[in-house]
Amino acid sequence: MRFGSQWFCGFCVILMAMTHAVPLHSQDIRLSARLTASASTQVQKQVDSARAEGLPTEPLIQKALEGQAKGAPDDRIVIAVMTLRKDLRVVRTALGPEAPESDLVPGVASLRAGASRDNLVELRNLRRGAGIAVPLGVLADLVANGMGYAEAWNSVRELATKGGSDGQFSALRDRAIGAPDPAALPPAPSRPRGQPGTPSPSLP
Amino acid sequence: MMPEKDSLDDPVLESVVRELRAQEEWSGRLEERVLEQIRSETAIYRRKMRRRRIIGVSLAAAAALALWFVGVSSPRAASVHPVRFTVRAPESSGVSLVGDFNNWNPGASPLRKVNGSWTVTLPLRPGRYRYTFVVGGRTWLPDPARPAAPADDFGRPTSVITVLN
Repeated sequence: MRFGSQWFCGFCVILMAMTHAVPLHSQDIRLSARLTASASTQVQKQVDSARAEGLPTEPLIQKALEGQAKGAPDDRIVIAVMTLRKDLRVVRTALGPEAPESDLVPGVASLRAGASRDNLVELRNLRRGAGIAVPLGVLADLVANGMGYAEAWNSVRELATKGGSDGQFSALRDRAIGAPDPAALPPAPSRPRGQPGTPSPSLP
Repeated sequence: MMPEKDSLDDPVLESVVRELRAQEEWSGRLEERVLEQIRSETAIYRRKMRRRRIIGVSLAAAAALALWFVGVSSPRAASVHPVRFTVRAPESSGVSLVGDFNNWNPGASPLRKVNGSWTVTLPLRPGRYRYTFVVGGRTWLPDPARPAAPADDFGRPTSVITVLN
């Protein structure tokens, strides 16, 4: 090998490493190990398509694994993954290509809770530079735990307008549905925990 | 002037001539050997340089990969938070935790029994996770201490946790 070729090869390896192109995308072993061959193939197609669209793929894989763990039939798993991919695309379109991946999954949750694309955009505009993953998640949680969508949206929008922090959004949820979120508090060992059989009063 | 002769009568002169001719012959061989030696050393030098270049390129690539790995993994590692999950199930023989953080694998995060409660602490990165407890290998039990997950595509109760930065 000539001197120039060697350095060219070295440069390519370094460039690949720096652009994170080293990991090769192939069949996800978690899917093939846990799903039937048919379901695995179909889910993998969804994952590949999502990757080509610039959508996060891990939520799709987790959705499929969740379905398998819960004993769902193949077709239900595939439909759930397809629906999630479609919803991720809707949120990505609403929030724009520059939206971080961390905003997309909570975005889907809030979409399913009743949020419109306009709501997503408004929240993003209110929280410029702060991220909307937590407010979107709180919005979805409030609705999922019994609050009407209009009331939940108004609460979240009001706090966003005031420039509330992620911790304040978590506190808003805790106040509304009575479930403490350990992530907003000090590390686990000092945390008091709820008891089973005594769900939060506001749980539906 | 006397004509030149191949054989000399004078033995002394003859020995001198023989000596000179031998030196001439030796001188020719020396030149060849020197050139051969130079060629050989040049080849060795080139081989050495090639080896060094390969090692250099490999080391550079390894360093780049190491930097890439460190650069990618460090910030994540720095932002991991320990989160404790607890459920009270004194009669159960075993409880596990399944969720987005462990590939929904019932064997990945078994809980430990302490005074009738089952507990496990997991290091989680900031984000939103769906999860549930599996009690006795059969019963799916949402975490009563945390919000119910907004939607479940598979008809089983699920909880949600948000880990903040």
